[in-house]
Amino acid sequence: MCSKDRISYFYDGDVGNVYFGPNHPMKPHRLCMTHHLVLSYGLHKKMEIYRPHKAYPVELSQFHSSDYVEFLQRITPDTQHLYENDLRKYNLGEDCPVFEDLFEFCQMYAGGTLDAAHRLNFRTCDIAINWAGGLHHAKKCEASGFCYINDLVLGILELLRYHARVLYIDIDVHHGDGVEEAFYFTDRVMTVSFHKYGDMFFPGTGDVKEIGEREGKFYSINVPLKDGIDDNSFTRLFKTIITKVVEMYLPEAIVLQCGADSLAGDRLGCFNLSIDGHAECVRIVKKFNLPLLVTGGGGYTKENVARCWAFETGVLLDTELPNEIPDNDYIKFFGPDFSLKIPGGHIENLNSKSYIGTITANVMENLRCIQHAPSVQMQQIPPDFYFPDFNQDVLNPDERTHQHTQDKQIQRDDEYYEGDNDNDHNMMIHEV
Amino acid sequence: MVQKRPLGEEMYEVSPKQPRHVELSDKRVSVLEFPGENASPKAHSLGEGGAACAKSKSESDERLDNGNLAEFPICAEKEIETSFPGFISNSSWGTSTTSEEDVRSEAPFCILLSPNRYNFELPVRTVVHSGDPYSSLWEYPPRKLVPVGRDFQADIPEWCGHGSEKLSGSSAGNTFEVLTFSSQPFKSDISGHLLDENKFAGSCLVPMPGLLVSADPKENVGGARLDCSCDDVGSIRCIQQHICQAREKLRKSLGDETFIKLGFLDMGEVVAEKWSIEEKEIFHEVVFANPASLGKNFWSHLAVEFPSRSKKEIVSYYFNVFLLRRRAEQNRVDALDIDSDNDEWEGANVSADDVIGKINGYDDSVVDSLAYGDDFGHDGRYEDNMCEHNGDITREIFYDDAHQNVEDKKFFNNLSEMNPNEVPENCSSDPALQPPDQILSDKSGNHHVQDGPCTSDDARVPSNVAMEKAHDMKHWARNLSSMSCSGGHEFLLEPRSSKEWDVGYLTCSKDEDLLPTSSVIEEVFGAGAWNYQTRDG
Repeated sequence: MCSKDRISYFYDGDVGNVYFGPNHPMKPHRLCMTHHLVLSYGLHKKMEIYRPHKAYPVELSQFHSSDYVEFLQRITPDTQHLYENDLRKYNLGEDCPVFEDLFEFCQMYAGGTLDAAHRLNFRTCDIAINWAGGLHHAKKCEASGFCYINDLVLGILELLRYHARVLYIDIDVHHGDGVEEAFYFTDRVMTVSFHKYGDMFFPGTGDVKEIGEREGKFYSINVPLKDGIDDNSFTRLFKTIITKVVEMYLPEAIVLQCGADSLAGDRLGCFNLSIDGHAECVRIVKKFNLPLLVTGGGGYTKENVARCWAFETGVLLDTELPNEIPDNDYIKFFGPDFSLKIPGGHIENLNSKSYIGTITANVMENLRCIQHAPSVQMQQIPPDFYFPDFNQDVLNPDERTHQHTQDKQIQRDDEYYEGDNDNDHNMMIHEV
Repeated sequence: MVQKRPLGEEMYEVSPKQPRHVELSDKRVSVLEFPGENASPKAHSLGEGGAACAKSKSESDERLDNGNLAEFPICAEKEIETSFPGFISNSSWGTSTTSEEDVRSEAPFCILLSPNRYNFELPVRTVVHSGDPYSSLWEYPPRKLVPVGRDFQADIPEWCGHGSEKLSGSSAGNTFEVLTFSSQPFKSDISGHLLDENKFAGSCLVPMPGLLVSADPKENVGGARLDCSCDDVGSIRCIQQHICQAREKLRKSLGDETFIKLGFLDMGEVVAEKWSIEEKEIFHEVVFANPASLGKNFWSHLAVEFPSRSKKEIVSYYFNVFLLRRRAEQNRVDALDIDSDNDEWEGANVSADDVIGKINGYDDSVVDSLAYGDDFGHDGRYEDNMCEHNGDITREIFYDDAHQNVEDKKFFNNLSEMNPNEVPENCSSDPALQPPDQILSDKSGNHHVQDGPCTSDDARVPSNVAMEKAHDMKHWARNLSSMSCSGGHEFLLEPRSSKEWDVGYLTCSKDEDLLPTSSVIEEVFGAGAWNYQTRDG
């Protein structure tokens, strides 16, 4: 694909008119502001815009349990007092309050991601955008972290019908636990999440040791970070890891969750990314020229959310937006500077180079363990096709290794010399 | 269940995602009093997780050696209460042996699981509830594990075997092969409908632009704001004019139908057109009277006051009109500490002086500049169709982008004819109106002091209070474990920049039309309710 990618953009005008409740940081109105800014910059001239269908309960049940979906459909703020046990069971009521039009809200944002996946499946577009989606914490049987329906899981499940392997990338400041959990056992989805970890930060999962299980072992990648990571550190880390992931995993489609709470100055976040740094990740992913589904996610300083996602819409359209925010109905929200870019915060980057190096090494080590571009596997994989991991250090160097084994050996980064010949730096890599 | 809100430093658990008032969450606080004596460990066989369990323990040793990765105790407050989808992991390190040791050495501690979803084949993850302090567990806390089981993982669909490159689709994007689908019931039932874009792929509002259009370098995509040639650059009128122009430009670019479908009628202060003046006043009064900082929830009161309005309409008005204007106020009060996401900012900081100032803070010069007649050049036809304006003398004070020019002039002409004892409804308790010493400055820094009984002496902006409040809320709102980020909005411009302005605050040109200050205060604060009879006269 060249720069003339076909972009489909999904937006439902009603999605911004729901209210989570007083003092709740999640404000869907940010979607309205984003949409308006996108249009004010004239980006509608370069992409097609769709109003998504409202996802049917049966579609939501492709991942979520039927009883949970049915409860979401049924519960209202006026009746919730009658269902206290169920509220607890489904983790509703506090972080995930029951508000007016809750289910319709879920239908809208999930419908957007589903429609986006459909279009990508049918190749009617190259990139599909649903800023309303990206609610990555929702679990199969319960709500979590302001998320009720996991549109990402639903979208990925849809993509899996026509794509052998799907890569999920998450740059929200919170760990993408809902998506990782859903695909923890499968190698058809590789989940990669960059997030703040530690200090009791929500949700608590996302350690680098979380690598998946069973057939999904090594197909979950977590990049736990500390407060204050800046553009340079983050984008370098992102590029290194994602490039290697794509090289090793060869996904057929990518889903990118662009949670904007990883920006500096976010109400809940603690990173120090500028919009440029955040958008650089989008640029890097776009360059792979794979079918790409882009969603929103977290983001609790709504002006910055709108700035970020409008800017990234521009990035996806290969359009550099001027820094001056154009006149629009919401321009007051962007005062007093009315600029698109946000200033970085003056916070200390607690991610030392050695820490980042350790994390990178951990991730690369795990990546080496996956087979190069696994063939499409159905749900049940016969055990004898399951390739063992190789630890090169325990291999007997004097013993001739099978070609198959040699193919699996990937030169380790800590090798001093380029080739098998340890004596000469200049020798080419010895090919067998 | 761990939550996103940070509860407090004394709470030893994974913070909830959302910050919350501890004082407002009695229930939550009580939950955190760990009933360790009530919960009994229910460790069960490890099953296949035994080996993994040991591995996990050695892994934690490795982690300690590395010393790089943070661990933390995990606690799910919900787990204490009732049935709960407990985390069941075959990698749990929660062996019965370990738990017993922990129980002996630690404060209240329990292993919890859900009776609803308990799987006897899988081991139980140990959930540690912190007491004070929990020595070895605090030092080497368990890693929160990913729950596994049929209630957690997704059912992966079968790959139909069609590579993405084999799918055909026309560049027009509307035709594609009929593909075989997996045996998902709903798919097979409605496979024919999958070709129906409207149903499962969205309805197209803006079609894909032609290649020529997108390739045109002269296309002003993402164009910057045009240079303003107004004489009163940065004034209220100027800003409103440009907003209106931009909106009109978009309407022409998209066409009326698309303009509506994209939701423009529900974006921005045009939403105010759908509300009568009385309704707006009630709205502001309700918000004023029920500030969240006092533990009140104005939303429930709004629902009562507007039974005919849907929640969506109320929310829409709140964000598109009320909040927008409050945001303008923030731009002027303290540009360095703006946090429009802080719900506490509204209403909590308003004093009587503030209200007085807002009611009386009008700028004669702005009034005159607003009346620039019909040379605006925009097509009134569309606005006439869209707006509900009826040309009533008591036009809404809030900005009406369709009729700003003509109707402003009409309004002020009528204003002079009004009963001097009446307060024009427009100029009443609008909390978004600014005190005169804020509203009255423009780019040049000129101050237009309001004449009349309400002088700038009375209308002081409690900006210190506002800032302090905003600071408090901000710190409270932050994740407690995170570094205290800066305000994040370190704007370089002075608060009184050329961009500061108040939209939609019509200025009354005649002071004698306004009620005396004492009456205003009494009406707004004394009685607690706005007295409509006095206004209507």
